[in-house]
Amino acid sequence: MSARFAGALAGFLALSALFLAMPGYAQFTSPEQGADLSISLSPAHPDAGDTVRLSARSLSLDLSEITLTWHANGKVIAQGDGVDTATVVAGDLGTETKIVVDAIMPVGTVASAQVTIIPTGLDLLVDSDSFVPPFYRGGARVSAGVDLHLQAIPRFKLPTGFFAADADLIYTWRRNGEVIAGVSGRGRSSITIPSPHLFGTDIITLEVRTRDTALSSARSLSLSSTEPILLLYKDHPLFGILYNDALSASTFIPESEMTFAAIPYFAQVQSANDAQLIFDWRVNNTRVAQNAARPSEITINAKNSTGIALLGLELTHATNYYMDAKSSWNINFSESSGVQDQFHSVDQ
Amino acid sequence: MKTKTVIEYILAGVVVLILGGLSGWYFFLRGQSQTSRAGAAARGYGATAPMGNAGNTVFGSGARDTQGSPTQTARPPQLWHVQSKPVAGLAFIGTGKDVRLRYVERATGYVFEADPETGNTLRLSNTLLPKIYEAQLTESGRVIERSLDEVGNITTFIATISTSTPVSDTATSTRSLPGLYLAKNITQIVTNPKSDELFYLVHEGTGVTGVRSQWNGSKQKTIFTSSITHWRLLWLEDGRIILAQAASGGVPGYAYELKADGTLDPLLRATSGLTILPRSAPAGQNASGALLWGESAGSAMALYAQATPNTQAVLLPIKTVADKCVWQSGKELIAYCGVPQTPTIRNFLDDWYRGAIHSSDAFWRVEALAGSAELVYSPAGTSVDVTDPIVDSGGDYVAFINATDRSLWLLRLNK
Repeated sequence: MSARFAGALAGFLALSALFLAMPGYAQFTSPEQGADLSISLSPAHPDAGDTVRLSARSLSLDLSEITLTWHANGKVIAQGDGVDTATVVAGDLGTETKIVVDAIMPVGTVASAQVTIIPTGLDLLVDSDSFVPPFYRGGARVSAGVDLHLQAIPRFKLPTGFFAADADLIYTWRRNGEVIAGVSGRGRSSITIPSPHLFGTDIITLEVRTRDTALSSARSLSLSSTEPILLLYKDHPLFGILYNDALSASTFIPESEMTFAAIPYFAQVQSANDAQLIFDWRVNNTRVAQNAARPSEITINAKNSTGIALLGLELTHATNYYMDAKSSWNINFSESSGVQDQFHSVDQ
Repeated sequence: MKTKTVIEYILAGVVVLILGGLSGWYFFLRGQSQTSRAGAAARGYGATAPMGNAGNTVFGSGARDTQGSPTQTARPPQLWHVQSKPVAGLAFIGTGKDVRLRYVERATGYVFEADPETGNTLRLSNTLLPKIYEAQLTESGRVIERSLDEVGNITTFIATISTSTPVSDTATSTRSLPGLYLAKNITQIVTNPKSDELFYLVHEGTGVTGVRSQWNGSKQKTIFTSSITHWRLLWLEDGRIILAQAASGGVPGYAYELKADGTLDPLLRATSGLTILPRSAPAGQNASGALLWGESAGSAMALYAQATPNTQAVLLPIKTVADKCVWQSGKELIAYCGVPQTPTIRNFLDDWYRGAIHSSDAFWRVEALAGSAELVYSPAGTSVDVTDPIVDSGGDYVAFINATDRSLWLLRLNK
């Protein structure tokens, strides 16, 4: 099952390191010996079923010289001289696993520490409103200038057996360590923020906790902006745009006339014909007028023409100066006669 | 006498003119008919159903009987190119010897049915719905055809086609496809395999809303909202609705079961380039069924199988995406997958979705319980890029769309 959740940085930790003589402290220090002992967990916020690595730490004791005994819910899970690590599998969501480690010397127990693991789940999903064509099955990549949509899906199981509702949880969103103004707070499980700059990378961190701070969790992810991708497809009169087959750099077209559609994947637009896009079409290095109604498309008639048509397109955005996509395609039409003539766009 | 001769000449002239006119009209009509046939042929009409010798490895034609009358022919080859023109969707209808491959033609929205054993192909509908980008068909005869309007909005047409056995009589085998349009810009839609209910996502504000309704769009109930807009939907036979984030190579993806109260129960989480194919749980069991899923990042791909939620997932010895796989129904946890025969390059998953790259696939049989896979068919002399695979209830045939040209193919699993 761990493979199923591989890569997930999931979980919640309710860490209540208890001082045997002073309950409520995060770490135990024996008043008799002046020793300290603490437990750290990896992952720091375990999810249900996660294998958790437990590590004992002390500033005043040489743990390699001391016998350590680890207990999970009263059962010994590891024991021995210098055994300062152990592993335990976290239980189901909301269940408690009490971990105790005792440091034992010939004179007796010198220190002890305890943590309680209560696994919870927290997913952090990301999406963007960058453009993808209708019926596209893949994800919308993040590009500069688009909006990011982040959604947290927490699963905090309360002692009542019910899951905490979104509205009962406090969300704190950070970008590169700084709290994002205006989007954090109670019930703010979804936010929309600008994407990173072109080639930039932002670290988004989310902390979630119950109002009484009894349960909490955190996630972070790294987001980078990529450049939009410009692809060209045939817009067939019967079949429509053939999104299944992007034109390669050199393409043979078995017709003498064909309409082509340029698709700016991940651009900051709502459609391929968005008024914000500026299309600069060229046929054999000659600029051609664009189709006013459908500027993303061009129809080329190759009758009475010979050779290969070099179709070029430069695509820019009226307000997003990060966007400058260029591409060109060598298109070899059939049914060309021997008459020398320039290929021409029927949109001219 | 002279007058009589003149009248005779005039009558003879009139007869000649009439005959000439009729002849001209005949040749004119013939020419028009030929033009019409040529135009139809250009769109893939008018030819007989594609046939080949059973011993052939591959047979490609793409022709079909547009008149609704089946033609008696020989058994198609093991890998049969059912339709060379683009198709929008496909489904197996019926069982045993009555199994048929039903599909929707992309250019016209016409519904066709092909007999995998005889090769007969029959057109079932005559309602023209041009440029169908995506179609779904159900065993009960439901048809969903999705296209774009003039300004680029997604349209969704739902209809029901008669489920009675097609007859050879032309006048009765081709039928209209009465239906209605649902709301525009439904980004994803699925049907309940048991009840024909619908579940679909529509854009609303900056997110999506998930609506459950009756087949005709009535009794709408919003059961899901999300600021994540790009999802893929599945509605399994066991009644579970699965939402999976649209995949992108190297990007952590999540998949959930949508509970009746609108909450999401995770199936897979934070899996890079996640593609997923859940299997319906066995009847009478509350537990989730088996899973196939793919991880993808760059040119690296891996496919995993998990027989039950409580068993360890197994890395399969094939590298492909779950979109190229299909579960076979029945007790055994068998799936069939199209697997690229050569190592994939670049960012395969995203490039494949964009149609910028195509694979040449062989068919593998996966046994989820054993975590094994074996080659069942490797096309010789042809290249197919498997997408949208389906398998019939008897496990005899796998049909799929070749992503390269959206043509329709059928593989007979037993020679």
